[in-house]
Amino acid sequence: MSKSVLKIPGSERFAAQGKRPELSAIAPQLKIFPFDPEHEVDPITLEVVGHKLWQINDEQGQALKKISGSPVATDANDFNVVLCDELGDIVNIGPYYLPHAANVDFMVKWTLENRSDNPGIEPDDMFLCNDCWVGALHPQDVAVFSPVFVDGQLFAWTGSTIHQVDLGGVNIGSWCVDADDHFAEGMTYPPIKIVERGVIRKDIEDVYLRRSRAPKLVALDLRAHIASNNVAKQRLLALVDRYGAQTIHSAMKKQMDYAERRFRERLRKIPDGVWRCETYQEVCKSGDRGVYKTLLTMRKTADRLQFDFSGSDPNVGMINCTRAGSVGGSIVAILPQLCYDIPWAVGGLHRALEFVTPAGTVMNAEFPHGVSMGSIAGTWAATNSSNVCIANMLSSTPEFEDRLLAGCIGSWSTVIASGLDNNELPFVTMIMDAMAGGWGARSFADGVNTAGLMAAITGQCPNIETNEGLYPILYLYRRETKDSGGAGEFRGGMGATSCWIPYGTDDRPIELVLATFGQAFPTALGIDGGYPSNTAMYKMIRNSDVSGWLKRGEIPPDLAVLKGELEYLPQKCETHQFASDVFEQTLGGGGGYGDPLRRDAERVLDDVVNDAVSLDAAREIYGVVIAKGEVDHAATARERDRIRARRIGQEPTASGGRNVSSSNGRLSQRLLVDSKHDVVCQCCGHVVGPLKENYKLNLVRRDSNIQAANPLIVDPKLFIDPEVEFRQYFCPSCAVQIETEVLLASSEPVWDKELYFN
Amino acid sequence: MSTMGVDTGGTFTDLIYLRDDSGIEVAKRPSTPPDFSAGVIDVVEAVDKGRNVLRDLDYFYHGTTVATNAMITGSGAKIGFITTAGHRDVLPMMRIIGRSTGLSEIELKQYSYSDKPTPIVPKTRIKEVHERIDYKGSVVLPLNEASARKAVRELEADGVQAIGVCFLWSFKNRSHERRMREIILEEAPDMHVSISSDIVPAMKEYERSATTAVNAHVAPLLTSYLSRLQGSLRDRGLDSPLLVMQSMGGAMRASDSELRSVNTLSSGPAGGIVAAKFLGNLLGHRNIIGADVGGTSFDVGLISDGEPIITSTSTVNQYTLLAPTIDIVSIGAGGGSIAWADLGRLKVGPMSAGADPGPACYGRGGDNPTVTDADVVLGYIDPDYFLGGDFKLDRKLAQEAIEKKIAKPLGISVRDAASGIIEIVNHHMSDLIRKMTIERGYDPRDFVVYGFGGAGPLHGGAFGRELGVKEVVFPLGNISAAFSALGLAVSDLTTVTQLSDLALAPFDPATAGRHFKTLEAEAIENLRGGGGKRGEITLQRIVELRYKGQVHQVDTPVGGGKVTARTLEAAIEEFERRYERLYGRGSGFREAGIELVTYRVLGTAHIQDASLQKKAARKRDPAAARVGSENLYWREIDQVVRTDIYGSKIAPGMAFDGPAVIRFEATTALVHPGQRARIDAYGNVRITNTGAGK
Repeated sequence: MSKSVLKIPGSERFAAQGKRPELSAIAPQLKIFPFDPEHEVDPITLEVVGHKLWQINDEQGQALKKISGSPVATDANDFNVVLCDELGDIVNIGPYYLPHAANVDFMVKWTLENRSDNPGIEPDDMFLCNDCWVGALHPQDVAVFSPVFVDGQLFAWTGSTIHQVDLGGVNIGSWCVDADDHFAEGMTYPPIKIVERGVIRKDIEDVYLRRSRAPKLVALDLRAHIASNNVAKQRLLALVDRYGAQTIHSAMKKQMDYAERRFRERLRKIPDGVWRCETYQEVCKSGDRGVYKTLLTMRKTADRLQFDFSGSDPNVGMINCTRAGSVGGSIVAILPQLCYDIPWAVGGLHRALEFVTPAGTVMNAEFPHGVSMGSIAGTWAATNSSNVCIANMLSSTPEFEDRLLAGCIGSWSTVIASGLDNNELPFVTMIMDAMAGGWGARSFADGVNTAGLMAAITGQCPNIETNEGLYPILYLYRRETKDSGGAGEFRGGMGATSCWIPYGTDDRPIELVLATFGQAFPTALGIDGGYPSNTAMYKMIRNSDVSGWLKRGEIPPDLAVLKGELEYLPQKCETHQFASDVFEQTLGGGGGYGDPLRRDAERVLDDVVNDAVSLDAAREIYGVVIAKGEVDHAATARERDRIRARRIGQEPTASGGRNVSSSNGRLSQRLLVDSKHDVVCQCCGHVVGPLKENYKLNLVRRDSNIQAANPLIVDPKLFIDPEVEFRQYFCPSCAVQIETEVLLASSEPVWDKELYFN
Repeated sequence: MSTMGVDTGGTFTDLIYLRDDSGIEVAKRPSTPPDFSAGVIDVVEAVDKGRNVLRDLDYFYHGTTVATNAMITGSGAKIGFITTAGHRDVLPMMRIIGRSTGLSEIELKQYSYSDKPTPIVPKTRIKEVHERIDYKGSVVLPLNEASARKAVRELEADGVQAIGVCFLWSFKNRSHERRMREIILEEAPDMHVSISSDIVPAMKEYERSATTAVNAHVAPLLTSYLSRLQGSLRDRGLDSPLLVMQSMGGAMRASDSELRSVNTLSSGPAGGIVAAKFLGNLLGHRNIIGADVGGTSFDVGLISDGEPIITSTSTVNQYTLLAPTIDIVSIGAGGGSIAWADLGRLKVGPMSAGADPGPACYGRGGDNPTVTDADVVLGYIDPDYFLGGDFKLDRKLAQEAIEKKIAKPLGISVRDAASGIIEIVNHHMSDLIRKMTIERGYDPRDFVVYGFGGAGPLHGGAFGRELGVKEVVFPLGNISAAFSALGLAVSDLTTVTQLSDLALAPFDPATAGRHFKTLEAEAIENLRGGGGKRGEITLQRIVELRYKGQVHQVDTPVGGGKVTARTLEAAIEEFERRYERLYGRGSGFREAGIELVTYRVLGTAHIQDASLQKKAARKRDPAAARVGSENLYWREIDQVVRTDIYGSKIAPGMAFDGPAVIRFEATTALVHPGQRARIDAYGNVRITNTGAGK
């Protein structure tokens, strides 16, 4: 579909690996603060200073947030702040947008190797960078970072990253759905010295701002960067004054050492094995109908964890990320599921992590392939696949199973809107309703409805009154979407749907740029037999009769009641919304956990009553029969038996299998391992097969059209050409649903969990 | 004048009885959940001792957690809610932020344990009505009365006790909500109704809905609790009105709780800040850091230029409410904070041993070492004189816990471990205060610290020195442990009225004048009849301004009298000054214009002239109050020093150098090496750094 992209000789040196630089690669005039491994810090001072180092990040983040004028920063919290040691390892990352955990460290390391000689790295300099190959997730993510010197020696780095509303390129918001390659995307700046010895270089700033459609906002955010870096620098130097440079230096190292030790200790408690996830993005740019694979193989050996993206599809369109995006996306799933009580000293964690990101793939594009959607495309795919692999790994370990989450909001749905605002002034904005995604189910509870993003620890979507006050739109509804949470013993959280019409625009259209994936098939997957979520969706009713409804005194409750032409807008497009056009955006919910037939029928009734689950889904997926507002328990038991029998083509047997103690370990909560290293169904004791085979091959498999995965999925042929299937795997004896898959019809069953036993 | 303040806390109910002629009396009794009024009566009887003091009171003040508890446990009224069609889910969605509001970073990182709170009203009891108003206040869709009646009938059939209503943009045009209320009362004449444009006519439909729903949920319970309590107090001779503490500081009449219950939520920590303001007026302190150190939490509020810093929202059980609140920041740090050793590090908190089992030294089976255990091991707290000796502590258990769980694993001495625990918790406290002041645009060095609550005087000297403040005060000595209750006893009546009406600068003086006139009339109405014989009323006008497109709104005062173009220009200038102080130079995006969001009036009825009596300094020699001396370890000089111990006989005029320990009945104060303590005429312990020893 997309035009062939030529390799650019000379671009290779920008492809950063994020490795700690060798001192020999740094120009000798840059003096590095020497690490003294002998310097001891007592446990009390260590804790006192550690807390103060953490607080530096906190103050830096607050300073940044206060100044930034961008809703992307203030609502989605799409920014972050970091403190790095002298060679760029992250000592601390703020509690904001997590993929940036692989931003500034990559950039600092590259800068040390490529800028220390010319133009040099001096006290009170600041470098600006949004180059994806050097470290940004996509060109809109601009980082500004600054060296901290003590006694003329490079002591540490402080930095911040903020998503910018627009930095140029062929489409507004720099989400370049029409770009054939990176040259049509937002301007790329490899590390440039924007602040020289404490003073902004006006010429460089002008170069930076000249290509933005919102230069004033971008200029304001540049000040937020600079002010927040200065806050961090002053605070760090005050600590150095008080406790001594060696103590602070040593405390930073020990912070990373401590995180590393705790992380390795945790990994050692988990059995060794391999976990795999195959997931996809569809539509690589406007007009495309393809499906593109991300394949993650996660290997856990002793106290190390490797993320290997080999086997992912070649780079294509504008959906690729670079290495930094794959690493950052994986870290999103690692931190909350594995490091929930370990300091987020990412530099220390990295020592127990390894990332394999083959160049030339969607997970590590080669220059000049398109990356303008990288942060929410390749990076998001890294999060989705890492989330599933880690959740499956945690399901193998009773001590940690309460920490897993099934797939969370499987994609971000960009809506960039521009036009004239309520005061007749031009505006460009990102509509932040997309924050309203659902989180995946837990092993002991439902997922959180409209919880936000996995990538952003906190976040919010604006009030309707805020949006209507700023932009010429009127919401018909915004609500949690029935059936959007993946079915399961524990249900995934619901995502939201928003619907609005232009308001007071007369015949001037609102221009929209849309970019998402997971619209043809779900990308928030279920765990241990849970179903996936709904799909994301953009819809428009053209030339609708909405004004007639309003004149009649009614608000249309749903698009389905409106007359007009229903248009399923493609995953990547630029379009216009005219006065009588009704736009609707649906966001992803979370995946489910466990077989929905195991869900307490009363909870299903509760879901039906509260519009979380439709009556049809209650019967067909959960097997719960509801009559006159109550569960018919006898009919439910019959219905569930019927579904089980249909699953395996015979009457299930609930017992009679092998009696297995869990002391031999387990593949997952549902699959135990016996002393002969056979995999055994936890529900009935049925011996599935030897551990050394893909257990799925020994289960009953049913393949269905992808629309069977969730009631809200529409015909994928509207969007894509390849066939995607929903696969279910059942215990041949008791018929419990052990796994589900969303896979290309051409793909083999994925051996998603494989344990190494001696 | 004589007043009484009774403050119900989770564990104890504190009472302060204040009389012009004879000073302050204090009492403390256990709280009595679920019926907290029993504890109130207990503590009143404890101080009364047959004197019938209630009869002569001018005011009886009460700080209650009934509304807060009702929300957290979901035990409030069964309510229904009515919204604009298409927007039923405003409350359940909680604008996404409800998953994380008010949680600490430690809690936030635990994704699988983060969740939204149990809803105060389930979706089945939220009904949609066809109507719509736009951002200008124009009617897009008239109120569809048939759908309105249907909604009410369904809710009534469901057995709701109260109905809240919040329509989009109702603060711009109240007609639909008012008509909706009429319809509810036509259909169900006995129904409690809260409409959002009455409760808080301010922009932001989620927060406005939450405020309205929470009020409807807790008001019936609080109202009946207060009327029962008032009955019991009246039976015991109380003739004056019962006044209830609000989270913004200041009291309201118990009889107003129907509409304003929401203002009592999170009022707990407000009392201490009101007391600090009161005492600060007497001492001439304009800038005060109020630091309340309790058993489980450490709460900090600020007084700047003589007034508490207020935020326009409060957070309760993860809901954000449009209820002005004294800006208080809390962390889990206090006497009960648990210490543990972790891979060569000493960690303290945020987990707490609570009251049960409590610190190891309580001897109730707790084996985790806490801050209190460290204080006991180091000899700062006398195990035989804790809470005046009512409650014996076991030093040996404290020692064992610290040895086993800290000293051995870390390879350090018990003394080093104990002093390390205290050092770390003191730094957590000073770090929080620093963060809190800096974030609000202040420098802690321009403040004095008031350290109160049971453990305030134990820690205040250390974190005050760390912050470099001018002075640390342990207010009223022994009474610092019940200082919050004093705040109740000296409160005026306050009210807030507000409405939102978006406008871009330059603002129209006629519109602003009209809005302020409405709000001021409403404020006066709220304050009238509050029992104010000395009821002079002052009104303060405020506008909430922001740079358009930026999120930070700044409360900006507006001059009194007729609103003119000049008044409003002056407000804009003040806004820019404040914005710059809060967010730094160059942080405002002026090109986007300045937007007015909300008009607000703060009303105060001055019903108080309580004051404290000064005592003449008689015995200046502190030796009269010295009860002994002990060899105590002080970490900052790394030495064991013969340390004077003072008892409750310390009196105005006495002064002495640290190191020293003052053992009051209800609390213990530390005077560190390099500090000097002075007892002023009110009995405050005032600590200054002399520089030596550090």
